[in-house]
Amino acid sequence: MTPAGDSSEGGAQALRDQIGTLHAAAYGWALTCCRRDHHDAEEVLQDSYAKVMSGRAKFDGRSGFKTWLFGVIRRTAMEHRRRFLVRKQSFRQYRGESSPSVPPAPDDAVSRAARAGAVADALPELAVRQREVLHLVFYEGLSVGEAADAMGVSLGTARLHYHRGKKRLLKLLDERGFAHG
Amino acid sequence: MGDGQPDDGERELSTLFRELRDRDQENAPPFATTWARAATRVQQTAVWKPVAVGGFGLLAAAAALMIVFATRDAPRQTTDYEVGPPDPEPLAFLLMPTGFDAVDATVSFDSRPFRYQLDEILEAAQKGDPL
Repeated sequence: MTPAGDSSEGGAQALRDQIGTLHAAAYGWALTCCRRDHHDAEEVLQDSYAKVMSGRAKFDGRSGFKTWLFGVIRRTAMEHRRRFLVRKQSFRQYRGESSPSVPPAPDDAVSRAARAGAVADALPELAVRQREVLHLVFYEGLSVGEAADAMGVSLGTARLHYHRGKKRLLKLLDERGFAHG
Repeated sequence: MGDGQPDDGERELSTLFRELRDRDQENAPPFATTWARAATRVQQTAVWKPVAVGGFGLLAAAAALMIVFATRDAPRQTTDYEVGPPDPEPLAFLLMPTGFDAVDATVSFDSRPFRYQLDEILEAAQKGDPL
């Protein structure tokens, strides 16, 4: 059990520190859960942290702290998607906006940024589960089994989504000239 | 990686995702800002939740009071319905004919003439007589 289960002042500070070390990874995961929408990812991350802070989400030590935090973020993103989907879509249509994108990459490594941008653009075209498992395996460096735990699915299901997602993503990147699928 | 040794596709994806992760980390909002905004949300919820619950409770109490007063002041039936003379045969309806019996009793259909005609036709047909 980590200090996350402790409700004292010191426990709260330890929880904050622990989440702080995972913040970059949590943001990346929130992006994946929000179809790479930068604003939604920030919203979801704030909501997730608020849940942890208020005790609505409690770490019980049944899984790793990171897996648990990712689970909270994934559930929050799902709630967020349900709550705001219709409103946001109609608002975007009204304003004539296209799908959201991440902020522009810095100019110092154009090809790297272009490749990263190609992945970021291709990922939303995958199914949710495929996107999640690929993120957890390639972005977070987890095994497929650990990814299955974080996603709350069986190993067989995660493996299936992994293989299908990998094949589809390579094909999409190949079409864009960034990989040799 | 997936299972066993990574293949070419997995190595390629690994590189691409690493580049994406680097880019995301550069664009990630500062932790302190996100945490502070989350704390603000928690405080707002802490304020608004009791207000919302209290408001709902007040509305429910007002509705209950309204029903109580509305029913208390409503005009009531003070006079009884007039009572007619007692029914001399209260169970007479049991002896009344049912629906089919009533129809049979009032509508009759005599099919004998047609039956005779049919008999004649059959008899003639057996004899081979033209009618």
